[in-house]
Amino acid sequence: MKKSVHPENAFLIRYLDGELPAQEYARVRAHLEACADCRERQDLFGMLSQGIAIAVCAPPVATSWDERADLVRALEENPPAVSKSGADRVLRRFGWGMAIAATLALVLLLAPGTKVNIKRGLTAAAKQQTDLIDNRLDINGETFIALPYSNPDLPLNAPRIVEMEIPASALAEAGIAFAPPPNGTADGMVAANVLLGIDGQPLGLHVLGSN
Amino acid sequence: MMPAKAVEFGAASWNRRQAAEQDRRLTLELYDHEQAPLRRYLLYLGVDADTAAETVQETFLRLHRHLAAGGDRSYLRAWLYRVAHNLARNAQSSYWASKTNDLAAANIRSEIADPRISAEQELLARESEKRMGEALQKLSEAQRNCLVLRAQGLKYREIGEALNLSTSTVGENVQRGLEKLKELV
Repeated sequence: MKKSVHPENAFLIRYLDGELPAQEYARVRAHLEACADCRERQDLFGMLSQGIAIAVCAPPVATSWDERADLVRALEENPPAVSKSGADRVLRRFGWGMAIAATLALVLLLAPGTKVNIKRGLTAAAKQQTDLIDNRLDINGETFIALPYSNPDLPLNAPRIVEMEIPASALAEAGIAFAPPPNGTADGMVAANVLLGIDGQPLGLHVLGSN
Repeated sequence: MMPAKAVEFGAASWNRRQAAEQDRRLTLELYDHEQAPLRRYLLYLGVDADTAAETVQETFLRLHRHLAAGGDRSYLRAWLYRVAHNLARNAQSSYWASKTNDLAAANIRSEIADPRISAEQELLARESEKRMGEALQKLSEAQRNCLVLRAQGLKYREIGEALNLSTSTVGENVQRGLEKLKELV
């Protein structure tokens, strides 16, 4: 648009809609301030736009809370499958997720081939580290190390404790490091009570023993 | 003894659950803001109330899946209109084919009722709406759709995303539609 000529309808409408670049917008605005005819055209488009908006938008559409509740239920009952990253798939191959965090790096010594009670077998350093972790969950007298990625807001009104056998290598992936077996090959299994929240996800871990 | 595979531990699992919760919240947030305008748009297209309600529900379920699948999050409002538009078309293609513009104009007025205004105001408002509605029905489909979406507050870029048009084509449709309405109203 040239400064000296009247802006075409396209410019006036785009001006109205805030769809002009800043420079063009300023030019149209300056022209409108000086030109009554263009202001009249502009006002007409403005009124037409308002009329459309009233016809289309003014009458409220009834909001159905039942429909919203249906949607909430559908979202909860049919959670969509989440695509997983390649790294995640690799970790899932081990049956465990990514590292729980360095905060849980308990160094537990295992004697391969023999059943050891982890509590009794803790080294002094490991005990010290365990003592430093104050984020614990006490359920019916049993103490669990709270997993750092568990939901702290999740109600514990229906906790489930499930005993599992977990590969030591998987625990290592999760940040709980065990001393490697002397022969360097065997992958021991660790027995642990896992505290599950009401969403079925793990909240805490209580290592029982290993072989 | 439960196998370890039965549950997931660690950051990946936590991040997924966090992301899922965020997607759920975003879906509901968008539902609260957009379901009424979306339903209005569908009604204006001539879709009956029941189909409009079902289409809106399905649109937001698809939005949730779209978010969970890592879909593009820019122009989500436009995405909603595009999906709703296509779903409604699929659901009512035969209905639309046999429908006249007059029926479409009458349909939205019968579906929408505002309990807050007086009878006189309602009469005047309905007269005005009727004239504008009739005039809108005389525009081309593209011009009408662009103007209706513009009236819902969508920017040209969003309208283009919703209707699969370029921004300049949206601008042309808006301009020609308004010029035609100027003659008709």
